Amino acid sequence: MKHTIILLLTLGLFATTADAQCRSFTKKNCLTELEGYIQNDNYNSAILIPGDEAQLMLTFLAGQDYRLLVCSHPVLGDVTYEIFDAQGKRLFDSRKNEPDVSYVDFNMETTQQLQVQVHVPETRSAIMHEGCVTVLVGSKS
Amino acid sequence: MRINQRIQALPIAFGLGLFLITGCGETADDHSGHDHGDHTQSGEEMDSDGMAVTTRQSTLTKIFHAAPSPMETASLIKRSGAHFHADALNGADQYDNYTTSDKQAINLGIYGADLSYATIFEENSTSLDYLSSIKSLSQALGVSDVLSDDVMSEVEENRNDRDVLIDIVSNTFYDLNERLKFNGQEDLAGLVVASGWVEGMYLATRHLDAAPEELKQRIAEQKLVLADVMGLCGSYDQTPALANLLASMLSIETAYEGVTTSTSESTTNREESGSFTIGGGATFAADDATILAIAAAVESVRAACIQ
Repeated sequence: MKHTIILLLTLGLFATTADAQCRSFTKKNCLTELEGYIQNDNYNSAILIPGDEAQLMLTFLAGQDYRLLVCSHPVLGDVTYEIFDAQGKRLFDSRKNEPDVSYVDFNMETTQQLQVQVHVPETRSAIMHEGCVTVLVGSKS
Repeated sequence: MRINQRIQALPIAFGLGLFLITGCGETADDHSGHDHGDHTQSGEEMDSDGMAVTTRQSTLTKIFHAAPSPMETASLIKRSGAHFHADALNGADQYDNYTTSDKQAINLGIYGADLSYATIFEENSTSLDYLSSIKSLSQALGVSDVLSDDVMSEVEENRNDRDVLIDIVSNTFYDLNERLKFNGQEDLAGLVVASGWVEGMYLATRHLDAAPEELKQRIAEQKLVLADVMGLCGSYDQTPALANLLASMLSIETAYEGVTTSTSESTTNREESGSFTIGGGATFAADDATILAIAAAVESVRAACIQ
């Protein structure tokens, strides 16, 4: 019983430490890319592994300029993302983005709910790493 | 047998824990650049900056929930041609009436929306009053470091610079959301978001008789944002306070049923600058009776929030 408690506490410590590292990662590597934009209040960050996906559904308001940033640890490789409208029509694919940056800028003519789908590529590496992936949205009028 | 397996797992668990903990002491600026391309690190390399060897075997789909911020709502109100109404704000001096953590979180959201509204309308003196009240409430909630003395000094130094104040307010509410989630207080983060949206809508629906048509259109479109807010807050553990607030907001959802929607295909156009313009999609319409019903429902929920 005592060992089980110690094990659980240790695993809890892992999770807390990993969360703290994600916060630190986001602050150092991601927020700076939103310069010139007002960042959305929501903190959306997760620890993902190869093959994982993440989804974000958010309403984007008419007349606003936005920057959508998908910021991931380099160990996860070429993390890609797509934007779909509410009917499932793909509006943007980061694999076709030029220049190759981790964000996309867009202006909304109309208010729409869009879905962002993030894909972490599979790996053949024997040792699999996990890394932080953060999705940030900034806006300006 | 099971205990033996656990005992055998302990050195591995401690080893991994030590690995992560010692990593925290390393400098983590190696990846502070913008490399999100196809560069992959070797399996042996380890840093403290959000990367580790994983123990997870199966993949998952992480669902993020989010909602537009009160600053976006305030910006939308101003853009639509509406005027600033100081009489609509919840008094900045009311903060010490809120003595439970739930009420403090709710009114942190209310004050956050009031602050955003005042800042967007360049009512900078009013903004400073609300920042001060927000500092007090965040202290009471144990997250006072989101508005440190340094931040307050920066506010004082830039009290006439709207853009700097907007940055500070946005950063503060992002930090607040992050801290509450990290502290395992997602329910409080939910209260802040939900009440912030309610207050933003309350401010948007004052003096509707003089409101420009564009504002009414924007109010109708908030049907989507309400869905965002309900989805976001519904994803958190439902404490009685959060469940009560969301239940009270069902009356706003009901009022929004009067908003009609027509859908057309979304369009994208790439500009010379490289950015995109996204158009088309849903169009929302609401008659005056529906807008008044939304305003009344919002007013009722907001009145309970600030009690």
